[in-house]
Order: sequence, then C-alpha cells, then structure tokens
Amino acid sequence: MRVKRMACLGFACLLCLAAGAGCGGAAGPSGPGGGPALVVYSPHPLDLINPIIAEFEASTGISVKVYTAGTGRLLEMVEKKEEPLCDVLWGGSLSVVMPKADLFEDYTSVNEGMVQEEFRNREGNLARFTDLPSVLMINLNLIGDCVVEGYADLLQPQLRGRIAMCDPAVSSSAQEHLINMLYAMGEGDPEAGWEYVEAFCKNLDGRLLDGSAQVYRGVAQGLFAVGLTFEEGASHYVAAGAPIRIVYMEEGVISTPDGVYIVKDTPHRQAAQAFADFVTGKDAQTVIAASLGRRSVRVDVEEPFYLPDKSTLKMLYDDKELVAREKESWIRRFGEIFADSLPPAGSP
Amino acid sequence: MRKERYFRDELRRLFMEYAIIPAVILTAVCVLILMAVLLYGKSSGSAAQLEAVSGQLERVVTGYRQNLEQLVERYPLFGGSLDARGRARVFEDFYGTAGRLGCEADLYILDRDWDLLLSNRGEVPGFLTPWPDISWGLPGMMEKHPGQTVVRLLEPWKNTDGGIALGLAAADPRGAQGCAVVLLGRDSLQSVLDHADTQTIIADRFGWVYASNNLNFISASNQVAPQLEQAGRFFSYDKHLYMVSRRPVCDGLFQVYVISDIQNIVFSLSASGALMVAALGLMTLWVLVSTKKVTEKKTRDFYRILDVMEGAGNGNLDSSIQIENNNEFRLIADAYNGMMASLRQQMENNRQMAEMVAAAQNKQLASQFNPHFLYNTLENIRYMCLIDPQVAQRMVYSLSGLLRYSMDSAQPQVTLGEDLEHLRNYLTILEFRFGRRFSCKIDVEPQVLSQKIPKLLLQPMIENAVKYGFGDRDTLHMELKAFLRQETFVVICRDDGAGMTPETLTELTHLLEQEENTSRHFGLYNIHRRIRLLYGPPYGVEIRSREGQGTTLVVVLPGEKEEPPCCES
Repeated sequence: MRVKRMACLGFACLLCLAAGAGCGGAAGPSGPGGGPALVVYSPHPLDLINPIIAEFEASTGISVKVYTAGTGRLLEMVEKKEEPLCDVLWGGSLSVVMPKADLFEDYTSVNEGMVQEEFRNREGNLARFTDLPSVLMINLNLIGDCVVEGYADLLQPQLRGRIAMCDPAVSSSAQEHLINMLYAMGEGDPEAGWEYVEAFCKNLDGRLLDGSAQVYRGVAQGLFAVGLTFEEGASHYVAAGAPIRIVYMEEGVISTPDGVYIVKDTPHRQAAQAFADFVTGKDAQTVIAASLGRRSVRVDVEEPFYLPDKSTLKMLYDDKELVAREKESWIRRFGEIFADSLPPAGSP
Repeated sequence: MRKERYFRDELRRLFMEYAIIPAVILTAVCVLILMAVLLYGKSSGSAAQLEAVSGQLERVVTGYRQNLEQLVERYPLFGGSLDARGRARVFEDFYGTAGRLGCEADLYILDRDWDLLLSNRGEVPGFLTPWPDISWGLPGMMEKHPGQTVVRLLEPWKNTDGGIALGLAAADPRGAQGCAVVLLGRDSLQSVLDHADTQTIIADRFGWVYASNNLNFISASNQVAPQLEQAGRFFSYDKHLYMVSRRPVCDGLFQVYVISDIQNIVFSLSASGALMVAALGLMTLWVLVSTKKVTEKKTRDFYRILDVMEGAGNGNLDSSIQIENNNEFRLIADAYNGMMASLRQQMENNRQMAEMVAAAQNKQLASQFNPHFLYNTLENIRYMCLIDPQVAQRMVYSLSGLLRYSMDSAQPQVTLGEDLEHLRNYLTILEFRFGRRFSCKIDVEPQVLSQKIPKLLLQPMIENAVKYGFGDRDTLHMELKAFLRQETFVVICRDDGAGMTPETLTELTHLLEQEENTSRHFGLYNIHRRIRLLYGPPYGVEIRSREGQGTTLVVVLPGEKEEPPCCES
C-alpha cells in the first residue's frame, strides 16, 4: 500500500512540474505598451490599410489589430459579435452600412468642422472617410476604337462578354453601380432604369465576378476590356502609368462615401475615437489623397492631381432612405434578371 | 475451504502491485522525463538563437545610432560646404561602422528643404519625400523630436521595401539644419537569420515584421500572427505544436521571436508512451488471466499437503502426499510421508508387541498347563510322595511357584534375576524328573542380575533344548551363561544334545526372520520376535547347532538398564 501511495504522489508531482513548465500564461489581445489592442474591421485593400495603421500606431502608441474581409461579411461579424470583438469598422460604403446603422454609436470627430458639406455626419454615427465615385475602367490596349463614355455605350455588341462586373450580392462597389445605373438610366427614377439593367445583363454574356478586386485586376491584366468599379481601384493604375483610362459615366455619377464607424459599447472607446479622429485628420487624408488615389472628404485636401475635379462631372444624388429600403429587393431582382439572361441549359 | 482463495488472490495482487503498477508508473515517468529533457534541449537551442539575434540587433541599432550622432557632431553635413575630401571622410566613417557591425546600411543626408545632399544611393527614397504642411512618417517623427535620434520600422511604400530607419534632425557643427537618416534594409540582418534551425522573426512593438526566415507566422498584411503574439511558452498553430521564446530589444522598440517546432517530439513521445501503456495494459490483462492458472498450479502442491495433513488430523493416517514436481514441497511431502510411515510402523509394532506378549503369556500358560508336563510332574510328585516326601514337597512347591509366576500379569520385562528364580523352579522339577540324566549349570555374573530381559525368556530356551536335545541320547547337560559384552548383554544357552541338521538350522534361522510364525517352532520364534519388537535389530536370538554335538542359543540384548523406547506399561 505504501509503495502505491508514494508512487502516486511522485507521479502527481511530476505532472504538476510538467504542467508548470508548460504554463505560459496566454494573454488576451494586448498591445506591447501594456494597453489593450484596438480591433479594426476593414474591407480596404492592404495598400491603404498598412501605411495608415502603421502611422497611427507610431504616433499614438496604440496597437491595432486589423481584420479584412468584404463589407457584407464584416457587418455580419459585427452583428453576431464574433471574436475578436470589433471596436471600429473602417470602410464600407454608406449605402451598405446605413441599414445596419443601429450597430454603431454616435461620435462627432474633432475634424467634423473641416468636412465638406455633403459629407457631414448628419446621422451622428456615420462619419465619412473618403469619397468614392463609381467609374468605368477601360483597358486602352483592348478597347480598340470602341467609344465608351457612359452606361449606354456598354450595350455595344463588340463589348459582349468583355465587361467585368461583380455580383451586387457580394460586392458593395457593384451595388453602388446598380444604384447608379438605375438612377442614371432611369433619369432620376430608379424604377425606370430596369429596362437598361436587363439589356446590360444580356451583354454580360453570363460572366459575373464574385470579388470587387477581380474587376480592377481583371481589367488591368487584360482579361476584360472594361470594368465597373470604384475610383480608387482604377486610379492606382493610372497613377502608375498603366494603359488605363477612367471614364465617369456621362449619364451621371453617384459618388457614395465610405465611413469610419465606432461599434456600440466598445470597451476601447477612447482609442476608437482617437482612430476616427486620425483617419479623418488632415495628415491622413492628405496622404490618402496624394498617394493612395482616394478623394478626401475634407475641404482642405485636394484630390489627387490625376483625378478630375468633381465640378467637371455630372453628379447624381440618390435618395438614401429609398435606397436603404429597396436595396435588398433590387439586388434580388438583378439576380433574377441575370439568371434569366443566361443561355438555357443544353444550348451551345 | 475458502481460506485458500485468499492466498492465491494475495499472490496475484502482489504481482500486480509490485510488477505491473511500478512498470506503468515507471514508463510514464520515463516518458515525461524524456520529453522534458528533449524540450529542454530544444529550448536551450532556441534561447541561444534568441540571444544571438537579439544581441546582434541591439548592437547594430545602437551602433548606427551612435554613428549617426557622431556624424552630425563631427562633420558640417548640412550647409552644402562639404567638399570631395570631406565626403570621403564621411563615407569612410560610415562604411567603417558598417564593417565593424558586420551589417550594411544606407545613408541619406538631406538639407532643411529635404533635398538630398549625400547618399550612397542615387535617389531619395519614397519615405523621405516630404509632405508639405502635414506631419507624416519618418519626416514627421524627426520634426517632432528635433535633436533626438528616432528609430522606426518603415513599411513597404511605393517602390521601397522599407526597413529599420534611424533619423536625426539637428544642426551640424556649423549651425546648418538638416537631417541624417540611416536605413537598415530588410536583408541587412539576413545572415543572422539564415543560419538558424529555428524560425526567427524580428518585428517592431506593434507586430509589423522587419525580417524573418520563415513566412509561417506572418499574416498577409506582414504582421505577426495574433496567435503567436498572444502565446505563452507553447502554442498550437495549424495543427502543429510550437515552443516560443521572445525578447524585447532596444527598450521594447522591437521584439525577437524564436519558434521551435516540437510537434514531432511531443507527438512521437506521446505516441510511444501511449503504446507502452497500451502494451502494459495488455500485459496486465494477460497476467490477470494467466496468474490465475499459474498460481493455481504452483499452489496445488501446497494445497495437496494441506489436505492430507487435515485428513491426518481427522484420524486418517493412511493417505500419503503425492507430489510430482521436484521442489521444496516434494521435500516436505517426502518427510511427511516418511514420518507417517514410521508412525504407522510403530503403531503396528506396538500392536504386534502387545499381541506377542499376550500370546507368549497364553502359550506359557498353555505350556504350563500342558497336560503332558502337568501329568508327568504330578506322576513324579505322586511317586515321590511314596519314596521321598520331602522331595515331593519341594516339587509341589516349585510347581506352584511356576504356576504363580506365569499367571502374574506384570510388565513384559523382568530382571534377569527374577527370571532365573523362575527358571530354578523349572529346573528343580526337571532335575527331579530326569535325575542325573539332566543337569544345568548356571553361570551368571552378579552384576547382570539386574539387567532387564523380556519375561519368560529363559524357560522356553530350556524347554526347547529338553524337547529336542535329548533325541535318542541318555543325558543332556546344559549350560546357561549371561554376561555383559561391550554395549550388549548376552545370554548363552548351550546344550550337548542331539543338535540339528544343517537343513533344520537353516530353516529355523530363516523362520526367525519372518514377521509371522507359520511353523510349530513357536517358542524360539516367540523369544526372537519379542526381542525384535522391544529392542529392534540387531538384537535377537541366534541359533548355532551341530548335528550330534549340541545346540547353542545366543541371545543378544542391549546393555542399558533403561526402559526401551517403545515399552508399554
């Protein structure tokens, strides 16, 4: 008996030792400064995220953890409170986020006074970040002598099957284009624009992409002659001197801003507000405009030199309330129209 | 008989406790110790690597920082007054540092308007392009901390890869303002990382990676994976187990991570440990099953002995223990069997002795009351009554003495003296009967008179001699001697009678050795048998005879005066 007992004791001691050695004590998401890390969800491309975040960390000492995905998925994660819990949603077009505006809390940044009139944070919890008009991106090497100046030109037969369009169900930039189409081709009445949409879908020849990056990359790589994307996607290539041309639809351009939104009941409110202030501050907005090809929402920051001034374009303005209500059904209707446009199964 | 079960179960339990359980515990302990040793080995290897990389990084950053400050102190860098020789000296200084630290870097000297004055590279890198009116990046940091060297990890930007930048905006000895920047490219420290067998990552305090020799733990945005940042000593990633050691460098500006893959160690040791335990488990099962049979077999002999002993306790003395195996139990069994056999033998001897004594007494009685003897003696007495009444009186006296002695139921042993007394009575009668035809001389040493002999030893010898010794002769002379010889007591009865034929002698000698008497020579057999029963061999009666010359009976008895061991009272 004594042997057994002593052996068990020795065994238990060894186990404890092993466990103790193994115990590392994992910490929660924390910054090196000892403070907690700010969790930011963002659909932005990495080229935009990395420099901004790095500068924010260096100048404030707040550590940031960024999680990237499509806007729809990120909103879902915020809604379901998935781990790690989001503090700030940075990006996401206003028309996509507005229906879920109740997930975010009010904050008026210190820069609100310098924000352009049309981009003021009227709702209180939807601060604007950058301005993103919807544009057409043309690959000059592939377009030949085809003239494309607006939506109507996209119906030309020689463009059939060579148009890069993303599925509005998954991409917010595609959603913006859908709304834009309806308003532009419906001449202010979205219901009248569906006729165009049907003709447009037929000219897609069954090709619909499932990621917004595929649109601008596809055009740049020469897979498509023309693409429907947002300005920044195309502007990089223009700035780099690639054979790309940006066309602002002559029927009218809707420019929907994206924003920076603070999630309700965030535990890192101070850091989140500092972040919102930073990305809407003059420094960050200048750098974004000058080097990253986006239009600032501030009055004191010029757009990149290679982008036209908005006064030279035909701007359209959608009814945000209407859009928020109808968006789901419009997206569904587009899906149905596109499905109908596909050639019946079995035919060549 | 439930007790026997406990013994067997004890054996099995003992086996379990002292063999199986220690073996299992020992295996577990060995596996744990081995794992600990291997992990320790890995960890010290990692520690050495961590030491090396951290040390080198610290040295390089500190070295270049000092060099930067020295350059600004010593040379008039920013005023534009540096001639060719001056530039050469600056470069010498800078390249000297690079050589000493074993690590290349790029140097940029700019004036207050951010124009490039001096560099080992041709053009101004993107991160040094100034931002008018705003504070951003390295230029912003340098302007915020004038006169201090700022250290920062730069992300890839436009056409540059970035790296660790040290910047100092200050005034040179001549008072001109400007800034000096040293950039450690991402491959500057590659040599330290390349010669490692563990995965090493150098990152800044926010997790942005400067350099590494592996992409496993780096996210798409070039940051350290969150699981690694939050890990303790061990963490699991992508189904592998890793051991981490980390260290902050340069006052926490950078973190160096060293990650070792211990999946193999842990997995193989756990697997072999589990295998051993499984094997031991199987062995335990087998042992449990087989010890049953083995202990049964081993203890069967033991229980056989017990059974027979128990039977003996209940009175059954005939059973003997049969053990086939040649072991200790066999020894016990043989000893026990021998003991029981001699016990039985002794009991049988005692029984026979009692029988014999009774028989002798009976026979004696019978012979005493032998009609011939009585008839003849009474005839003689009747005759003597007429001739010599005194002799007749004496004969009656002797006869009554004879009868009294033989009816006296005393011990089977008497002293020689007593039996001689009795014999004299008999001899008297014989002498009266035969007259001068018969004589018996008694030659006995006085000290042997107290020797113990079986009762009724002497008379049958005389009777035997008288019955057969006369034959067809007239006279018979007998001699009776008794003396001590060494350890024995010898009684010799000699007659000069007819003797026996050699065949008769042989037959009689042979008869004496039998355990049962089947002949009519009862008397001698009786004596010999009783002596054997009382004292055992080699004591007994020896017959010597020569035809025509006579017969001698030699009786040998033990010389002690004590009681023989198996005497019944």
